[in-house]
Amino acid sequence: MTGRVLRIELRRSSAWPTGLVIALLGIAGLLSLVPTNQDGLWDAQWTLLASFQRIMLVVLWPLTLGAGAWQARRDRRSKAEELLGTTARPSWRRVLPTAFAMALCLVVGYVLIFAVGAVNVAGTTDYFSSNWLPVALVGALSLVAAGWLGLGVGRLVPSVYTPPVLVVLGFLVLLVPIQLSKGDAPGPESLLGPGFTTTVREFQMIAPAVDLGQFVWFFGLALGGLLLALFGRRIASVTAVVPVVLALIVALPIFSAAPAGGVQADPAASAEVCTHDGGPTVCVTASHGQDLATLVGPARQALAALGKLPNPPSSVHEVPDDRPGPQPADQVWFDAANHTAGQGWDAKSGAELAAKILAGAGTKPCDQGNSMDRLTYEVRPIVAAWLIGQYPAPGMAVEDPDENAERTALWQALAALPKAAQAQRVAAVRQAGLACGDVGAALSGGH
Amino acid sequence: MGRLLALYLRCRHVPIAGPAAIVATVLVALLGDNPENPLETVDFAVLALALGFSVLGNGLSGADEQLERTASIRWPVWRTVHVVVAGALLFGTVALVSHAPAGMLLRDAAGFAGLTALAAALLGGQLSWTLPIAWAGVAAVVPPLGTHSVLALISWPAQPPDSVAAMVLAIVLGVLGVACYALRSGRTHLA
Amino acid sequence: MVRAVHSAELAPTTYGWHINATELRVRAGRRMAVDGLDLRLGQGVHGLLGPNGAGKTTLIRALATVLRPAGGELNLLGQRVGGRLDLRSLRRQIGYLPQDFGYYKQFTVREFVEYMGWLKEMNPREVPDAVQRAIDRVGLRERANSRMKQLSGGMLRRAGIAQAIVNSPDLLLLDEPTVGLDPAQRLEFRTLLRDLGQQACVLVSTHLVEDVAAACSNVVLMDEGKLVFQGTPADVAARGGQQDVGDNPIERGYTALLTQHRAGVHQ
Repeated sequence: MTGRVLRIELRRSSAWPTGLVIALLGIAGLLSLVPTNQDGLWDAQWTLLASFQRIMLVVLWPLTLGAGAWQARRDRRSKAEELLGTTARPSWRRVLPTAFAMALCLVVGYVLIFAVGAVNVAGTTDYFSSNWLPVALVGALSLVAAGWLGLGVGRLVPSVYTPPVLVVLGFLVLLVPIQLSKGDAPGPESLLGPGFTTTVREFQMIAPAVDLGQFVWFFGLALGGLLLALFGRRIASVTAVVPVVLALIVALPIFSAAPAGGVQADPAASAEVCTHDGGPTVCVTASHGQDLATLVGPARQALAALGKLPNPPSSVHEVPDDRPGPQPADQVWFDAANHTAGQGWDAKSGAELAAKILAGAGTKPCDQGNSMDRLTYEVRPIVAAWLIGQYPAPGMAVEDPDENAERTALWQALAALPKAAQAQRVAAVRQAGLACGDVGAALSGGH
Repeated sequence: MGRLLALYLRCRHVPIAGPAAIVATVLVALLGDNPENPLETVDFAVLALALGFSVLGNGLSGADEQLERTASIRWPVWRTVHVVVAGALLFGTVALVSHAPAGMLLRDAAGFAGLTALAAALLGGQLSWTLPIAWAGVAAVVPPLGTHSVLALISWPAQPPDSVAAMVLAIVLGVLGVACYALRSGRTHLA
Repeated sequence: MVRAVHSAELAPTTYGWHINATELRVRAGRRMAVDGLDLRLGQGVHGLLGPNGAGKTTLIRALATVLRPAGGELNLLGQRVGGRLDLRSLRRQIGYLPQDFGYYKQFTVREFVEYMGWLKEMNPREVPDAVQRAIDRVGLRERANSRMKQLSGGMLRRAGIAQAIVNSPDLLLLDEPTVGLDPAQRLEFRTLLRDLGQQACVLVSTHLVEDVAAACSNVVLMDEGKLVFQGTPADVAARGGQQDVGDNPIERGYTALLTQHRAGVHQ
């Protein structure tokens, strides 16, 4: 019988429209990044999809609060309180199917968003781990917590104004950690929000401690919301505070075990996938395993070109930003940032890709992206051009006339040297790159 | 006329909702008003406006819409004036307390007024808050970088006052919403 | 006070009296709408009559356990109401149709009645049959799968009656059940009432004196929160004379009883 009532609630209450709206908004949020080519933010990796979905909770969570509060007012809105009040079944039993219908529809809505995103992710990467599962699970749980909390507050304050005020309060509460995180590093309390304030990148994952703490916290919050919904305006609803406070007491210390921001490296995503065909070894990260085949040819070309140098390297490795140095002398390191999810390596041809691998004579810049100094930035394509024997190297022409003039000057200075000295300078650049030394000085023969 | 106006305002819950809307709007706008952080100021001002509309929006449908429809007064005029006055009131309130640019607030007030009226016409006064608050919330969390037209339109309420796309969208929403509401009125029956 | 007690033929079977109120006082807001009412009712159909504001709805709401008595004593189905008593077992035996009854507009008629059956804690196995029976009895079989919001006023009323009777209550309280029914439906409803009165104590508040005459075995007349008269429809009719206002003997009797009562009170 309870099953039949649950079915009635599923079909007739505002549960399924709520789940549908949540799903549509979430899917729209995912797809809105496609026209700007920013879908790499979520479709590069399963963990990325799960955590991007969590980021979208900043919008979905407050709206769910409001939906719960709206559902809670159904009795009053229908003026059915008197009739229902005279029935034998206690009112908390009446709320139970409503709450479960709501939870079920919210979870289904959340899963739908993930399913739509999953189609893209499956087409982008072969790397699969279960890191995303706890992240998605906590997300769905947090949505249930929002629905039940809204239901509870709506029963406590059955006013027409409760739903909108609750939604705005939800937005304000969730906005505050975002505002805070723009200043100093976020504290563990920022992890109490359903979304993440830090963006998760491809080779990262949510720390298991964070998943655990958030699970405890949202479980407590959901339970508190449910108790509030069940008891409404009766004194027993004070008990709703207990699970919430308990969850808070348990969760906060768990958070402090995780790195600030809650994100850590995902060793499985950056693990190496290598060739075993007898030729020189070429390795990519597991996350980019499906694009190993297109890298092998250009990578071996690059190794052949590096053969002009003394003590040439013998293998090529794609490495993510956080791979600890120093780079071994017998390896070529290729920055994983040269890969775009869903599109592969950022090069129009094999020759361009080989040139990219040869930038800096097969070294990975020690300084990250933007902080690379201008001279290093200009020297790297020069040595690539020398190794290939073509200036500018394929795909490395610059449009800015000043920059072009500077580079050409460097190139001409190098080319003016005797052959052996040229090789010596390029080898010095490689040495400087391996040791995180001064690459510009190495090219100009200084120290 | 004065008597009719007083009764109309009473049946639209204005004596309670009006002051409540102003207080709530002022509170939220002041909470995030930070001259050193224009983004925060704008986000909170946008949410404050939407909150004000959602409180006043409940009054966009009367006790019995069908009964009212049969009255001979010029409903479209009353309804239009109602929405416009509500928008002007909230714009004035936020503009007084917030450091957000007035041009932006005026544009947002127009757009939100339309969204509120549209939701009232489609879903009823009790749900009139849905569209303005949802959109304000999205705008408050989506970074308002006008690099791409899709994102610029999604976050129109937080766009700078000189954004043409946001202005056009706000005007379209305002006119469309008010027109729908003026002609259809608010639905009353929804449970 | 005028009183003619004909309670022998209404004698109860299991409960003593289904409704037994002594000096009952019930507040409606600030007003004491039922103020010192003595009433004993058993099985059968009882028509509750009285002018506007007599306290009929307040009385019915108190009997339906919506309102708590402010004073006096009230026993329903052998249980004393008020104090800390658990109302649950009592409520399983009550059927109630409020004057202005609320319902979930999205539910179908069947879902609504089924839902109410669940709330009344009926045996789950009996619910589907009981729901069908209740819907059939009010003549809504064809519209059982229509949404409540699509029903006309009269059909809505019938759906309300269906939920009130779904649990075969021992105490059935109907506040203005005939409002909105068309003449044919009212005739059928009277038959249904007489039927229900065979097993239960049915209290029907109404303004329509013909309904009372046709369907009730007993008339309860209230004014200003007090019992004015209790007796058979024939007893009521017998009180009226040609000088009293009314279209038929019962209405004339009703007018006469009220006038008489008010004269007595205000002297």
